[in-house]
Amino acid sequence: MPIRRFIWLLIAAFSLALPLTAIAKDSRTLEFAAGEVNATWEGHGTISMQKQPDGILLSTTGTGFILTRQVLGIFPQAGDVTVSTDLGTGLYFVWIYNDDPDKRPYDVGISVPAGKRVTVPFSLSQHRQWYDKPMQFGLVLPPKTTILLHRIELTQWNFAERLLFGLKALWTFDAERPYSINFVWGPQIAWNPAAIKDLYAYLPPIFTSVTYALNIFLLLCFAVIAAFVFLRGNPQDRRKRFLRIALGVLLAGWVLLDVRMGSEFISWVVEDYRTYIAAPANLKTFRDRERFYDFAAFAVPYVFDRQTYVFFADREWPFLGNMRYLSYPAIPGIAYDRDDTWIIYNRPDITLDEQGRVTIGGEAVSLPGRVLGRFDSGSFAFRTYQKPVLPSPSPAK
Amino acid sequence: MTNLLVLLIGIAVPGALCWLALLLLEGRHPVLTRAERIVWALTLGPTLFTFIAFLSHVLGLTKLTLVGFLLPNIVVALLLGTGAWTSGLLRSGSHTPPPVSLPPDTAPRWMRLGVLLLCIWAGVKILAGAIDLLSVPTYWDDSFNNWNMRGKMFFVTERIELTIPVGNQILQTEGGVSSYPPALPLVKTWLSDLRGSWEEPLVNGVHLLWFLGLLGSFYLLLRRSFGRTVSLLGAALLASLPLLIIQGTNPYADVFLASHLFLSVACLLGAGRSDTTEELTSWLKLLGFTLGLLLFTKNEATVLYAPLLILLAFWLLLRKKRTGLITQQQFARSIGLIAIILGCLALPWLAFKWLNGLTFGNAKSISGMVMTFNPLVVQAIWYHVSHEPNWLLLPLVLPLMLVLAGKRAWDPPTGLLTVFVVVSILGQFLLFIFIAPLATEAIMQTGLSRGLLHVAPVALLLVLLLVRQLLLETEKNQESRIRNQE
Repeated sequence: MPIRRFIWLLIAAFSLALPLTAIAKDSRTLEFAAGEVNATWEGHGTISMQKQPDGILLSTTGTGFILTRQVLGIFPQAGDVTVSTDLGTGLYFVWIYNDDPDKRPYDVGISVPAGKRVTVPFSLSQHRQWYDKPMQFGLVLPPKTTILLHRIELTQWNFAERLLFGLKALWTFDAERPYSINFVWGPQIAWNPAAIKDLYAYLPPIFTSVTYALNIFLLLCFAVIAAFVFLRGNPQDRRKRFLRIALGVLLAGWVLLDVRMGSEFISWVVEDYRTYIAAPANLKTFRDRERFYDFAAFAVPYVFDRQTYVFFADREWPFLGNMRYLSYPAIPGIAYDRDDTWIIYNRPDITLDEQGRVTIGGEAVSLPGRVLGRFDSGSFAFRTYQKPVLPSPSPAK
Repeated sequence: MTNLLVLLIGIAVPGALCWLALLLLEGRHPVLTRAERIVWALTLGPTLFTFIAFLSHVLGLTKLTLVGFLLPNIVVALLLGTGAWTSGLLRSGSHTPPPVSLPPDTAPRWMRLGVLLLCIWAGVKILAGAIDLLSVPTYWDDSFNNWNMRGKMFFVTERIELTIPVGNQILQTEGGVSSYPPALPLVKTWLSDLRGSWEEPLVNGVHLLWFLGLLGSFYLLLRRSFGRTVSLLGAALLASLPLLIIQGTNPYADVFLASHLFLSVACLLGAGRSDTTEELTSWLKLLGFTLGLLLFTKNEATVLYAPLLILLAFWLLLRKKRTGLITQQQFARSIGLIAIILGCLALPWLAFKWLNGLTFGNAKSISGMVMTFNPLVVQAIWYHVSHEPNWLLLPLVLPLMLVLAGKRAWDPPTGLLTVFVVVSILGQFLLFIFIAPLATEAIMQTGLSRGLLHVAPVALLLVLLLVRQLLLETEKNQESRIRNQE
């Protein structure tokens, strides 16, 4: 087939597909406020449901389901749930196909932070078992959960919108994270805004990798090129033509992926520049370490003349090793009974009692002393008035 | 600014020493171009420099101070300089140019423009990475737990410390990161001694040297086979590999190893391509030298790459002997040459390891490891090479080119690269799949990605050489067909 005819066929196919774009974005809002809630909702499992003016109060002792058999009339790609809860919790959007004899539930996790009328989006289209079939759907609540459910909204986007979201997903970058020195996830395929928001939220990502798709696409391209060249080309130079076209296609794919990944790399540098290099002194944060490096610069002068010191942070990795490197030759540790200098990072639970002793969970763990300097409410340097003396070892019997 | 000045001096001094060493090794039959010798000297220089300081230190002659670094190196430099002077190598005009005819640039204008754009893009990324490297604190785990930590310890204590305080009253002894060669930490110690203090931009910034050195030596090696445009394209493709640029612009040791490994492979390829015994001898001397320094970079070099390269060198020499290119005597002499040069550089470090009970694995001892099949590793490897753009399309192109080239891919000299790349990659995969304690390194994609990083430049070189071979062959076939028809 001549190339020109092939291009015309492509244009015709695209034109035929155009009417699909006329189908506009469509949503179904399922309200739970008094007077608006649909009567088809049913509770299953250990769940109690109580009508409230602005929603349904759901409370579980074990795992609880709230399900409906409503017909939506659309095939949504994503949704969002609006709830109020005093404690952050994990919910699941769940569905069970009517024709499934095993009634197997499929689900998508939703992480809900504490707050009033919090709306959390979730994507459905990436789920391998998400089909346009009659189903029962709803939410699953883990044991001992209480939420006020206000609304569930499910949305279907049109073809053109999905295409635009797809392009946006392609150009959505992962941040520089502790794993970035060993691997990069690269671009992922996603077709709705909820999926784009969660593109790199899961390890590994739950979406289809563009790299994988590109590899498959290129292999198919080689097969097509080989077929074209070897079936229709001049036998004298078909090997050469195949090589040249295949290499050209490969190079194009390589450069495209390079532009995408190189841009991600540069976005990391821009982010570092914005948040750390060029940020004002008291607003500097650095990747997942946040204000640690500024804190270390504040703390190290207090320990420069000590061999060891007590160090507490909100988590041991990576702060212990990082602090050890930055304060070397002073070594951080947990020798309460030997060291007089304490460096506390991001531990609002560690305070001083009336006698000036460091307390953890209300229990005094140091001799009386004073705060040498305070970095923020949970981070400070402390030194005891007296050097702790280790109890002398009892004589051997 | 002071850091930059110290960095330049700190690189130039070892570079000059290594340049002399390379000049002497090549002797009256040079095989490197002037540009190659400079780039190689800058890349290998710090390793040679720290090796000499290490040797002097462990012999109890010097401390790891500025004088401790300079004194033994000045002595060696004087010896090398005297040797080079008396052999007439330093006199102008006495140094015969190497028998290298660089191919002319026949690329069309559109291609030159495209490659120029790719090079600008690569330059922007490298510049961005360099700004970041010089401006941000030490973030990565292996940097603050191993490379920078040990460098700082050596700087503060002025001696090689094998016991590292981890914190929380825990001491890490010989089994841990101390088993890694001290070259990289010692480079940081040297720069800090020169500066008079431990400065993050200085000790981290030096890593750019090996990344740029790798790109430079890659371009210069390609230049022996391709015109300027295609060689630049090759270097731009190398700089485009995401994990390479990430590691190259961060204070990790794997690009450091990769740059040394690439030069060792370049020597093997040079030996494979050499037509005369003199040329072969020069390449083999350089191979021994680069291999010796390679062992001083990371443990992977000792347990994997160096043995493989030695075997390949042996295979190459055996082949040359069989085909009558060298005599039995020359064969024995060549083996002896590699053994002597390699031994001089490798034995002190290996003996030090042995005497101090340091392990030989990738921070894990390779002795007493249990063999068991782990399917999760197979999944992790597949995911790493097919779903993640760590190496862009290299995992697809490499097997494709090997298939297209068929049997010819295994013929020397290019076949040396094929064997090296295939055995290195498959060997590592098998180790991860079957050796239980190493499985985590693949599942977490730590050791796995670094192992591939070491080999990636050689793999890309192989791809480019195979493409050239295939294109040249098709052109030749076409020409011969036309001639036959006429």
